[in-house]
Amino acid sequence: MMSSFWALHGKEWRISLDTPLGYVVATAFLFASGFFFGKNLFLYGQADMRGYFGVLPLLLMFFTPAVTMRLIADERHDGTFELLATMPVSTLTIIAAKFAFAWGQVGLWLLMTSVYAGSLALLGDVDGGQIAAGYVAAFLLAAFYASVGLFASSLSSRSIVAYVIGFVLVLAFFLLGATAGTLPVGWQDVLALVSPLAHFDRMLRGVVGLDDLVIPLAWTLLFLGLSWFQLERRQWQ
Amino acid sequence: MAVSDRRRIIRRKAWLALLLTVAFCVASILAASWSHVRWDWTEERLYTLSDSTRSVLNQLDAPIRITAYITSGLPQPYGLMRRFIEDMLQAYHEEGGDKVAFSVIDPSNDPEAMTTLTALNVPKVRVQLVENDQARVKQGYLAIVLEYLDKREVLPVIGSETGLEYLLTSKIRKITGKGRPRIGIVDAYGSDGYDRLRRLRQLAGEDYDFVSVDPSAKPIPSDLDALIVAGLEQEPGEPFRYRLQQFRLSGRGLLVLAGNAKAALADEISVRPVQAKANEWLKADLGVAVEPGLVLDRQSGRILVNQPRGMFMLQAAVDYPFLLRVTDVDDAHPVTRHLKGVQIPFASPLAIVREQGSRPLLSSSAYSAIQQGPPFDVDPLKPMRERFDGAHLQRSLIAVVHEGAGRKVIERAPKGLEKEGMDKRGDTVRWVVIGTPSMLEDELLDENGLMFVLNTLDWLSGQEDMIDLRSRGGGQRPLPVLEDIERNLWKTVWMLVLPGAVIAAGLWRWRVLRRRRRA
Repeated sequence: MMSSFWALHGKEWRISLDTPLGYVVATAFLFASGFFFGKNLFLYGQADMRGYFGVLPLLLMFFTPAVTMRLIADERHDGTFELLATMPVSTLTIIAAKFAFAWGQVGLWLLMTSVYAGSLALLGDVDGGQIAAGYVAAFLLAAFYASVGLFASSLSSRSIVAYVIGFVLVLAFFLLGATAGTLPVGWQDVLALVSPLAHFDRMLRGVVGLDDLVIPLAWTLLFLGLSWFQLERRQWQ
Repeated sequence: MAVSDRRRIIRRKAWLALLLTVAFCVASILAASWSHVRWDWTEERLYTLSDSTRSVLNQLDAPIRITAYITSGLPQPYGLMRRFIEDMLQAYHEEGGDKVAFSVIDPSNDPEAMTTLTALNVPKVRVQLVENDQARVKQGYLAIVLEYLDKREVLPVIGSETGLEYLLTSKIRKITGKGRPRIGIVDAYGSDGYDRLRRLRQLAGEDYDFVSVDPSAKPIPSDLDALIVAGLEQEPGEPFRYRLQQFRLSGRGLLVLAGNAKAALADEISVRPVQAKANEWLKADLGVAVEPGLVLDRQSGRILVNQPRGMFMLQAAVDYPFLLRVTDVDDAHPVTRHLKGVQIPFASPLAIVREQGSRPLLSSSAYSAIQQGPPFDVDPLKPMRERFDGAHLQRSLIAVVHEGAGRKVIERAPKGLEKEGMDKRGDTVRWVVIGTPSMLEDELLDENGLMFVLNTLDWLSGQEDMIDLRSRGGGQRPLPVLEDIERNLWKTVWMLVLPGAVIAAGLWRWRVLRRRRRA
């Protein structure tokens, strides 16, 4: 099982490295990241990354579905999924390998942005713990978005449709958080407790709670479960 | 087995697995929502009980009861506040053991609690919320009541998580009998007296007992812990100086704010010079000279000004070099240990004339200069470049701190004051001189400056344990002043270097693949 996992995982990385799409998306993400990081940094004059982490959910909302859109949709479109299904590889392994690639790809981008933290440390006195908590929050959010994107990719055989579905799903979560103030109080309480974005915001203070870790991971698992179910359905339909 | 049967089994298994996954996720989310486990990664452990609080709790003689009154159903972020308060009170209870009991009550379900809050005059919080497309105001309580023996203290409204520990611990200190430091504000020779420092009294009145004193006319009360002299405008007489000397040498603290010009902010931003002789006594009595001029610094704070734009006046934030953003602070001194920076308005340069026990506390940046005067040109609309064109850049001393032996300058008591005395509290003399007379003025006292002043008052009153607590999280982490070209260079690096690296990696990979294909 592990060997097939690594084989599939490696295949995704090879596709990403050998085709222009991965580079184009990474370039666009890092360009936008650099722009938003530097935009107001000197205006506020503080050596912290909370401004950047504040726009990160929006950036990931645009770019993560671009990574995940092709993962299953393209396999179905090109007819390679049927080939994959005949191999001794479980659906769970396929989902795990593709998710690990997507999370790894977005995680790599985030890791590259640690250059900002390094340069900020050269300029001023940064709170390393707070920044580390911000990165943990970002990695968890990336995992959640990647799982949503993968689920969207399992719903369609066209990448572009998968992108739109993934984007809309993530946007729905984002808007729920952004418009929470207009919801009834009971719903606000529920959202504050279960929304992965609310936990992302909370971690930016530099405090990591068990709930801040578990809740985004639970949502990730839920969407991976839905993706798995979506592929399993093909066996009886 | 028939194909349809196998399909049915697969379908059943898939549905079961999905339902189990959903159930597991929902259970994890619910379990985690109720968990109170958390790790504080901030450098200064901002969300963990400080040593100061631990020390206060460990000194309790009798049990203290803390009751949080929090109305349920308040919209966010107030809903989350309940959880934060519960966590914090739990931490107090764990540290204090049997000496700290706490409870959290929803007053809307408890008529007795409602009666208590009404009797204590605790105001209701008014929060706007939107329900069924209609905005309405909801009222509720976010208060904490502390009871110790027969005494009661109230935190009427908990507005934010920041600073809650400080508020709670200072209330515990107050209720358990340590009392508030008593601070005298000098009202003589044109200084900013008790009546003029309204904002300071309003913001710090809970923690300090401020009283007005006039050492030129009456003896300084001996129950004072520290004294503030905020900007004398005329030369003080000998009785004034003698009484201040007696006060200082008795081991009580003295904070002096002095400079060459005072802010005049009635209609426009300007300054008025103080008498040249008004600060001479500092040189003789404390060994600190107020040098001529006003310090201006490129590392500055921002102010809002009205700028003409065609037919309109637009409000804009501009860097104001007379609002110094001082980041060169004494990291070892209790007053400034936790402060990354302080904003000082209209500062004059100081010089230490006698060094025994005195040392620099704050200095301006290497990008500062001195404007000679009076008159002083402090127009905020004058471009920064023009101000610094050809200026001699140098650091200036902005605040001096003294701890050590005192020096008697006036050997014989002036006539009529021979019988005046003051009981001695200690042999160590503590004083601080800040080179601005305007820092405590209502319009210029900001949150950051207040923290610096309160730290100073705590240190002068010997209440150092509160400094660490107050300074947590309030300190800034300012970036250094950079030239336009440096700022743009950094921005360009952040925007282009990483994408450039990805493009370079892509081109390299493309060349490798092309070579492979050709081979």
